[in-house]
Amino acid sequence: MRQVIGIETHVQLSTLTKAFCGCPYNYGSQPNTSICPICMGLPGALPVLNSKVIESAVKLGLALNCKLSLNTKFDRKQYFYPDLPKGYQISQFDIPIATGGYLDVDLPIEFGGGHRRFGITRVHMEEDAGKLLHSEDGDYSQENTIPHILHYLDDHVGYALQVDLNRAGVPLLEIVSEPDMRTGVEAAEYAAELQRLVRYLGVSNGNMQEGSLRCDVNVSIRPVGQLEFGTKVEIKNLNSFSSINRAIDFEIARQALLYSQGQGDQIVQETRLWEEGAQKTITMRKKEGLSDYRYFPEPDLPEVILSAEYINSISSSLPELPEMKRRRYEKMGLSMQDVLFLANDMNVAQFFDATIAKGADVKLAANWIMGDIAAYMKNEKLSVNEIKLTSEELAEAHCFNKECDY
Amino acid sequence: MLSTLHHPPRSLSRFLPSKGKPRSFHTKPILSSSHPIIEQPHASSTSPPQSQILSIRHSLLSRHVTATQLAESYLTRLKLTEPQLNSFLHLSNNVLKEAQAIDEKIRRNEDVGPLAGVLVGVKDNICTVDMPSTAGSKVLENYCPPFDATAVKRVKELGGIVVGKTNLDEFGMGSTTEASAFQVTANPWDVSRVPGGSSGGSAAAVSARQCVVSLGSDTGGSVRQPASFCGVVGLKPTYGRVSRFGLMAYASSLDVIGCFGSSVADAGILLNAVSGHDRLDATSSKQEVPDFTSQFVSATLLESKPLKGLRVGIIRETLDNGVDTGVKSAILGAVSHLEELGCTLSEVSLPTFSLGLPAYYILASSESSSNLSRYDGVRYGNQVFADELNALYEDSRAKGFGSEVKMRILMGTYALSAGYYDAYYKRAQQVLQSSFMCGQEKFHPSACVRTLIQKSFKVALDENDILISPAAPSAAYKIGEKKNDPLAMYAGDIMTVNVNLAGLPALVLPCGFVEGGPAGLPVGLQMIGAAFDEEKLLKVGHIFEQTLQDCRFVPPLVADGFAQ
Repeated sequence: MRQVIGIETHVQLSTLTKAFCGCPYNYGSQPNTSICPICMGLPGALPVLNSKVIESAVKLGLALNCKLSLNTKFDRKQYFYPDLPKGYQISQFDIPIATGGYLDVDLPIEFGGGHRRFGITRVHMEEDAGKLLHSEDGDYSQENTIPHILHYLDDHVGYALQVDLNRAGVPLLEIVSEPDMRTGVEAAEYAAELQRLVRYLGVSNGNMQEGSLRCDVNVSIRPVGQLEFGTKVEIKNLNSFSSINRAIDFEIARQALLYSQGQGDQIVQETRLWEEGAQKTITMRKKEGLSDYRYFPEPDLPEVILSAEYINSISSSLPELPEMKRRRYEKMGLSMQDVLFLANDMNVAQFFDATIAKGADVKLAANWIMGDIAAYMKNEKLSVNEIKLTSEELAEAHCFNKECDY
Repeated sequence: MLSTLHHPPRSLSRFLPSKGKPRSFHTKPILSSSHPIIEQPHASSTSPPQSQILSIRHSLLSRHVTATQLAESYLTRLKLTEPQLNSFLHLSNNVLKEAQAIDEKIRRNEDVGPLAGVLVGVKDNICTVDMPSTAGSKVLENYCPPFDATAVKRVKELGGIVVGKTNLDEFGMGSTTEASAFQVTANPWDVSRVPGGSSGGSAAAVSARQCVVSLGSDTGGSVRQPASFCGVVGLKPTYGRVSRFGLMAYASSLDVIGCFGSSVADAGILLNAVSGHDRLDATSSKQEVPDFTSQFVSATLLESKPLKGLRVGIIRETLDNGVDTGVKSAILGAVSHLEELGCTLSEVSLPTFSLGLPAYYILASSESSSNLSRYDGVRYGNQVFADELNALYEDSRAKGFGSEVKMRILMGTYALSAGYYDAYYKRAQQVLQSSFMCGQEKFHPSACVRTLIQKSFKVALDENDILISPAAPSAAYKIGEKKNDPLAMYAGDIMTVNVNLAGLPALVLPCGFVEGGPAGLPVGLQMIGAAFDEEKLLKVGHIFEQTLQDCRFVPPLVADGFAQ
């Protein structure tokens, strides 16, 4: 059987304020404390685009080797849900800001290593929705003057729902990959590389636990030689790279088993949920008709026009990205094991670069960082920025190195 | 101030156009920005309309009258006339308090703004922080916004006093104000007739002198048509001239906040107050705002042909079949008046004119179906108790919206649906994106109706300084007359919708009468200008108004009410 995997990733941007209003967003704030008429969708309120959203999208688009749309626009995606205060999401439909790129990944040695290039279909800008809160006593919003209580009983949970709009209007970039991945490991590494990229670029903290980086995975399998894709199944609730890996491998095995038992027709287009406890996927909802989002151009926001100067200035300010770093380290003569260890964490890479910039020997510095320093960091649960040793001190301590000037 | 209102003309024959016969102009001083003339207490019934705002300012600063006395006199008239008119949905409790604060400032010789003591009516789809803002809909009954619309904020900052919230067709959808969920407003010229819509309350309130000026909104003619029906001046600015922040959206790409006044000067002064870029509205223009009233010339200083050389194009299609003969002759009277003023008149054709109505109803309905999605009963307004989420939405919206609104949501939802979008919405658009919409998508250029309309206006306005047409095909009709015939009502918007699709400014001012009601019914002339050239419209309108013979546009209701 041949597996086909594609990933849709939502990256929450770490702009100071939301996409279309002046509210700050801090994960974990008290419900409905970071809201205003605009992100609440009150009558008469209008969105005004935060230019940092464009800047972040251009950065990521360039870093993903995409073609940028010089004239782009926002569209309204319309559906009803209590966490969507306007009844539509401001998103991009037919002219996304970036299209047709790719992402280079080096697979970990323990999974066989090797270099992969995964296609990027598109990157577009949109706003996040709020969150539903389930409360048994209906007492969440006592601090708020704005009632967000939904006076209905959810038939699944049996208690009142409330809406927290803190997250509503927070800027997102949605990155859609080509269906280029074949295994859980490849998909997990794609997601990990995307996380590194947004962290290197400084556009997002990429934190999966807080939902700053969310991956939805599409999996289908087909017999070798068959041209058309098999039935696509979407998996949600993937909160870590290892759950991406395991959920995909589980799903592939599940579908392959159905095929081998002659029950291929039981694979239906649906959304499945990864259950971390049970280590399996379960049906969340079957394909509900054809959803028609009635997209049309957002009339409250003017077109976004990117000038060549603007793109050039962003392009020239981009930092060294993980892939370039890895190739540079490789050229320095480091093993792939060393390269991946050093380049995977932006802070470690910076520490390493600073150390060798002081004249330290490349291999010795790498060994120190990967050996004693890494062990110390692990024991003390510290990051490289938190340890007392500076890159200067490490370089000096390397006076035993062959080119030491001291 | 009460005695400044005049009895309306009782004889109509005087106002019918007397073609060929040259008219003489009034030479009484009317208005000059350096010397505002106070309105004479016993001005003759033939004197042209004067700026109420300037005369209020002069009276206050010269201590002839206090803001409190002024406010009291307006409130007295308002209370006298309101039972018959129903122009207002809510009245402010703070009018006298705010007037006293202005008096106090004047007593201390502090500066007061140019709108100090001016009572302003505000259409109820424009947010006000201290009063409910319902947009005439049950879905927002008792809703009080936590912020003022930018236009309201600017009016208040300049000393204006918001007297109340005026009635409208629910969310601005209608042409009679009968589609308000709360009440039907009557036309002050004949209380058995509609005031027009959707800004019927704002137009009736100014017409009946319940307030000095008012704000309305115009998506397809909602300022201009009621101005015509009620015999007041209505100004629809260029799209983007006035911030939409705080205007409850009907059709975002067409909506503008507009101004009503009993004189061109007042509409211009109010426009000055509310215009300009607003960082809260990304579609508001950064175009410089000139002093719209600086070019007003006092009638004494007018030369014999004050508009000599002005090229005026009469839009041929607007005088075709379907326009009442009375309206037609009033407009022809206005045409000969403009000729007497020195204008060069010619007929122009807008070949796209008839495309306006269908394009408008597709675009406006589509955008409204989206803009009204937020009224789901979750965060504000009336929420219906339901045991299931979809039922909560369905019941809240079914109970909250009136039938006209539901019809437009259905039409718009249909037009935006997959498989129909290209045939309807996309074909009716497109504005700025025209190049890529038409180019990249390989559409035949003729498919983009809105772009075509803009182009044909551009051609006509390259050849002419302004274009003129009736503001509506008829004068005010009876309440209930078109209620069950939406297509007939939609057809009444034919004179105005094209202007919204092109985003242009237009001024409507009363130019004559047709027979009907106790004292005749006013007819409005529409003047259309190039984008952001409100200044020219106001200048021409002002001269037109100041030199129009024997036409006073004060409705009988007020004149009679006054006499008491």
